[in-house]
Amino acid sequence: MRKEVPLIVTFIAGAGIMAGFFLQAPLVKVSLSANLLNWAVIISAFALALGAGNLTRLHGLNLSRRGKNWALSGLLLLGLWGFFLLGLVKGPTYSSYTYIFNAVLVPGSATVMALNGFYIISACYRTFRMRSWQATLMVLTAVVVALGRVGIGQAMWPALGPISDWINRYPNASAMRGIVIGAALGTVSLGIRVILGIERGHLGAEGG
Amino acid sequence: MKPSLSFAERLGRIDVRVIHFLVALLILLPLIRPVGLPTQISEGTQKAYDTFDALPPGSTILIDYSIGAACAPELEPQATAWMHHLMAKRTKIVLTFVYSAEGPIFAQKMLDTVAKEYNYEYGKEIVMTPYRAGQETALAAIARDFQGVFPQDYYGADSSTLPLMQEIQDINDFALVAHLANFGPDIYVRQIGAPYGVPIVCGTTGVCSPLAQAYFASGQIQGLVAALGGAAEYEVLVGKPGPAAAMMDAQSSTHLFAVILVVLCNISYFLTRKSGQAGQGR
Amino acid sequence: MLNKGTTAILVFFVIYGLIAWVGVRRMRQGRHVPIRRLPGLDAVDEAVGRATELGRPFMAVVSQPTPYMNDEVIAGIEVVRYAARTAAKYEASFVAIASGADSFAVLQDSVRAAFSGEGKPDLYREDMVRFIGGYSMVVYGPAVIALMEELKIAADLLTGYLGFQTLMLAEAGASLGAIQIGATKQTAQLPFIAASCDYTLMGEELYATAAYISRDPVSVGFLVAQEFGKCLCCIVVVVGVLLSTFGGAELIKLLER
Repeated sequence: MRKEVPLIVTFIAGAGIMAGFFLQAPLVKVSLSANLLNWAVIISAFALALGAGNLTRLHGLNLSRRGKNWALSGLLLLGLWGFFLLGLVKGPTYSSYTYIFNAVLVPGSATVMALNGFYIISACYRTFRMRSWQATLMVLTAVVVALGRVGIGQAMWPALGPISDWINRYPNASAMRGIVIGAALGTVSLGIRVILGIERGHLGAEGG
Repeated sequence: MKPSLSFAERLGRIDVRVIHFLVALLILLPLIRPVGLPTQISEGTQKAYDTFDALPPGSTILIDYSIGAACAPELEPQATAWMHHLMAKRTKIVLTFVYSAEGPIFAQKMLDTVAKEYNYEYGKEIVMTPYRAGQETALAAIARDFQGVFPQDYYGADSSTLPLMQEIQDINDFALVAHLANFGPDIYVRQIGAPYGVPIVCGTTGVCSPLAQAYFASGQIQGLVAALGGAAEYEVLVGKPGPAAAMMDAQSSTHLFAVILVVLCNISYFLTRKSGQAGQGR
Repeated sequence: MLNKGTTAILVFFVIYGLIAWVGVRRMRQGRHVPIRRLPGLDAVDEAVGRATELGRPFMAVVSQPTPYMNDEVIAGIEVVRYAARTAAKYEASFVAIASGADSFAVLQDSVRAAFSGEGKPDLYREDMVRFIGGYSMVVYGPAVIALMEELKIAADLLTGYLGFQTLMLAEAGASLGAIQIGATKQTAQLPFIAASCDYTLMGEELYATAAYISRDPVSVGFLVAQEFGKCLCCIVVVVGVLLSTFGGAELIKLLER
């Protein structure tokens, strides 16, 4: 029953939502499909809580056992639950809550994302060697698009902007479509197998 | 004794710390002393502007305001420029959050600044819905059963007490759906554009713009404002140059530096290859 | 009866299902279909071998951007399962990192079963699968980088939605001299993976993993359906382009019904 119940639930949910996508019948579209989607949204919210619970358990254990970096585990738990309780009790529009968010979370997150800028430049320097005609094409395209998207490139040669746009709209879009079509068919294939219960990898050790 | 590197080899082996230091300098200097380089308006941004501009007065639109802390520097300037444009036209706006639980905080900031500037009345002209987890699942639910997904607004007020929420039964009641997120527009095309035919405008970061281009080129989305460059272009179009326009000089200098580095590493590669030495990199 | 714009999709589904059914039947009857080499998957053996030689771990990173496992994560776990079996076979040190609570549970089960399946259950340790919580890449990425540097990995497999952190993870791995395999369907990640990783599993290659590894009739049958589906899409694109170019919008109207 441990494996059968999830498979039955998967089939009903998957088939119900697909039926709602195709059929106009209110019973299917509104009663079944819309309700299933609403329940999925609620379950997703609980899954978020599950993640927080898991983190608390792991870092709580580390803290209590004075394991590796136990002080950092304590700091993590303080940040996680302190911020959560502040928002829960005082509301997310409370001044301290928004202050902590704007002063700590936003600059921290933006900094991590901004590191990408440094890494992409060093990665370009490390990897963009014209070892073959394909690599040469890639390098030239990268140079044109990199300069065409910014003011300095457009000031150097105004045509760079339209050329960059053309590269984005035609060769790039075509390649993206090809990859998206292939990946989408893979998703359909996997989806059908999951709904029909043929694919059970998401249930655990089945495929191991 | 270790043989000294030739000039050509040194060109291809610049210490990554030196590169990072120079990048930091090239970002800081233009921020301190802006140059004021011109901004060419791309087709995607122009179409997004035109689409918003063509909205009849009093239209209601849905904006997925999924700005996260990490992508705020790219998306917040776009969002601010959009709001100036839409609010000047008194467009009614419903804000939702599909991708980012942090979105409501940025939306609240916008309500306290831009919406206040235009004296937007909460409940009649603008409403903020709560965050719904599940991304595409949540969006599908919103499209199919808007009232069912949002019985209350973000502040806990009953939707039946908010005139704007009462006007919306399902996704077809929106004149347009716009999204601001660090993701492509694919879920909007799948769950809203294709089944319901509601026009979509996309505002996204640089990493997601190549995918978004495919949808824009095929007409599945009606506008595309991509990355900081798109934000700067939109600020210029609405006549309110702001942080994005100011940051473009820094972006210009780093892009130029990246190109110079690529040229240098290839000069090194060809020179060392000619002299029979191995080059660095893949 | 059908919603607008879904007729063509339903027809496609039916054709796809029929081809898959026929494909599975023929595979079960013993028919052989050659599957082209997936260098990314073959590289797992090389990467695990290198980890064994160097005595340093092979790290599999599974990133889950949503509170539930999506199709990409499920397909990625298939690759991780294969890597775990290979690690068990070569007795290499193995670490898997999950960002979602449900993928963590599935990975624990899968890695444990992989080691048991290779007859080496005693080599499995609980700390082989670690949970670094956070559906935000800002949280997940730096934590994984710190772990990479702490463990001094010899090779890694990056799968799931890593977003902008892909590049940072790949650069961190490159700085350690690790063999890197990137597996994704996300077009936003592809440029980073192509530029920084040694091997890639892109788009549909990720979904073909199950068929490639197991050669099981059902997986191969569905792979055949995927290929036919692609051919069908190509035919529709070509016919549509020709019709649109010479003034006919009939195909577009048909697809919009």
